[in-house]
Amino acid sequence: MTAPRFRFAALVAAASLLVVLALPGPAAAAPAASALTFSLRNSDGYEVTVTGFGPTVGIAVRKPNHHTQTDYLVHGKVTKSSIRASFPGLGRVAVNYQPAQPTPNGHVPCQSVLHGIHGSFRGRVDFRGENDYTTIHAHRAKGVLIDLRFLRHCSGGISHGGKSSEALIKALLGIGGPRAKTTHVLAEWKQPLGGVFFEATRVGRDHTEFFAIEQHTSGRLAVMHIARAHGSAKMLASDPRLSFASVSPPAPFSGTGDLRHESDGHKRWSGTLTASFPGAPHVPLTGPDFKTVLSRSWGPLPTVPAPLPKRLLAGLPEQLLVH
Amino acid sequence: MRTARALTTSPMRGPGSAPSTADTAAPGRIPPLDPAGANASAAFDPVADPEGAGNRESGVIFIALAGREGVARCSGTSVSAGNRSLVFTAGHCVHEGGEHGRWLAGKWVFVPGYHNGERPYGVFPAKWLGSTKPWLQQGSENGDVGAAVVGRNERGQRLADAVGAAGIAWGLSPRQNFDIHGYPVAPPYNGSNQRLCAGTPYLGHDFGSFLWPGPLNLAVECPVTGGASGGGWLIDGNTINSVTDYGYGESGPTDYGAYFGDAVHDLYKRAAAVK
Repeated sequence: MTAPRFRFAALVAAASLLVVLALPGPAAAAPAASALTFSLRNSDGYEVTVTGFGPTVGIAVRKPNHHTQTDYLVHGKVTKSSIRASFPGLGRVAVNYQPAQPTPNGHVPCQSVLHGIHGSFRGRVDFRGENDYTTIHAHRAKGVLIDLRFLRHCSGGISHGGKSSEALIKALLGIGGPRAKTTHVLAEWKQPLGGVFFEATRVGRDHTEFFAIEQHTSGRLAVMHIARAHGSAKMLASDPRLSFASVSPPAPFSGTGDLRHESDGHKRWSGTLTASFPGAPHVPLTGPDFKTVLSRSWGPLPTVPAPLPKRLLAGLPEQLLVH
Repeated sequence: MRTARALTTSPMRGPGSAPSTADTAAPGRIPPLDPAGANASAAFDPVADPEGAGNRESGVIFIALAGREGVARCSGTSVSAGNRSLVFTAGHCVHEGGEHGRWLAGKWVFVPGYHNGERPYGVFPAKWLGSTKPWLQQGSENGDVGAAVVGRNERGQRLADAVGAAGIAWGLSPRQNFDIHGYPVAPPYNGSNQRLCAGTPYLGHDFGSFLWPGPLNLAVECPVTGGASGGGWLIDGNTINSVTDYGYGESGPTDYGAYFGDAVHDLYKRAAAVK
């Protein structure tokens, strides 16, 4: 049983979800102008944030201080005053929003854009995580109507592809961009209906940041798991020639991942490295299907863009045109 | 909504009334004009006879952009309609997408049955271009479907009279086995031949599809590359039910295409009404 109550602190969950929703791809020409979001705190410690944006409704589940989050996405019906969506096998959301204050006029400071227009949601939220890792039933919650025009403005050109979704998620999750000698291990496995991405970044001799995303779809449900961790510099070991690297991040990760350049020129990414997310424990982050990069740089962290759709229209030399 | 601009042959008509964007289309199907089966193949192999029934309805689209640099190439399919002159392709092969996008006006031609530089059925220049509302207004990848109505070829023939036309279906279950036709020109291919992934099954929806308006798109295994855009996804050997839209480059051999729902049905009606 749950004890729903409103938590502004959980807005970071909505924020990362909104960033993903606000960056649907290179062809995102007309994103929705507003989003509705509210959060519930479950008695087992999970925070559940519901966000409606354009055609998409998301439920983000996280535990504070655990540095992991699972987002469930479906197509639903979102208006400025309601959210309706069914999450196959997990539950449903049917709520109406009522603003508690008049719509503010004029400029909204960037530091408060996520606060939006406060109000209350009434209706029904029923959610049951995979294998019942958390269950929530609620009829009311406080929440906000967020003006995404301000969010995009304050995010520095978010709607025009100025930053990758990973970079924005990391910014919202508090992972900065240090100016120091950095060593990177990147591993990505793109699958037909999703993929897995892992990144480890050692900043000088100071510390190492770890970040992982697993995403997949199952019928009319899309699921995204996010994990991050902060560890010592020793948790990413490599040689000066970058012929190998070994990572051993702390929780929510476990095990080790080893990247080696073989004598035949191939790279081998192996080991026991996994990450545990809400509803998905011990997701493997190594294997022969991953494509990897091991690099070193000086300065701001390079942006590693998510795989973006590539339209399959081909440019041609003029002479191949049929006249 | 923008109005399509004239290409090279005759006055062009606008896209017409705004279509519905709902993805709950009642199932519908237009039969082919010249039913034909496809040969089975396990990969994106060249078709044995690009002039044979079932293949000659597919062709190459060449686009020379007027006043701008570049020549582009897509794939398309002759589709059954009363005007006997309808081609279906990807939305981005006719329009850049989004409310600020532009029509790919210029020299836009369809060459059915193309192979090794030969044009066995001639060249059909477009006289009308159209796309779906989700593509034109929002650039949604879920609505990346386009259509063209073409003029007669050099011999004075209408398209369907020359090569026949595939049927079209909308509002069906996404769980179909598709024959993926196309003319990929980017490596490892060279665009000289029509290729086919035969009977490849629906896998599911792309993750990104959940972030765009319109019905969730479809994923199948087929190693398409640039130039395959707009290639027809045929069911039952002769009925188009999606088109190739995008892939993820070197990340895998998966092909993604739009679901044919209400928006595509509306596009078909508008295009079929063009005389």
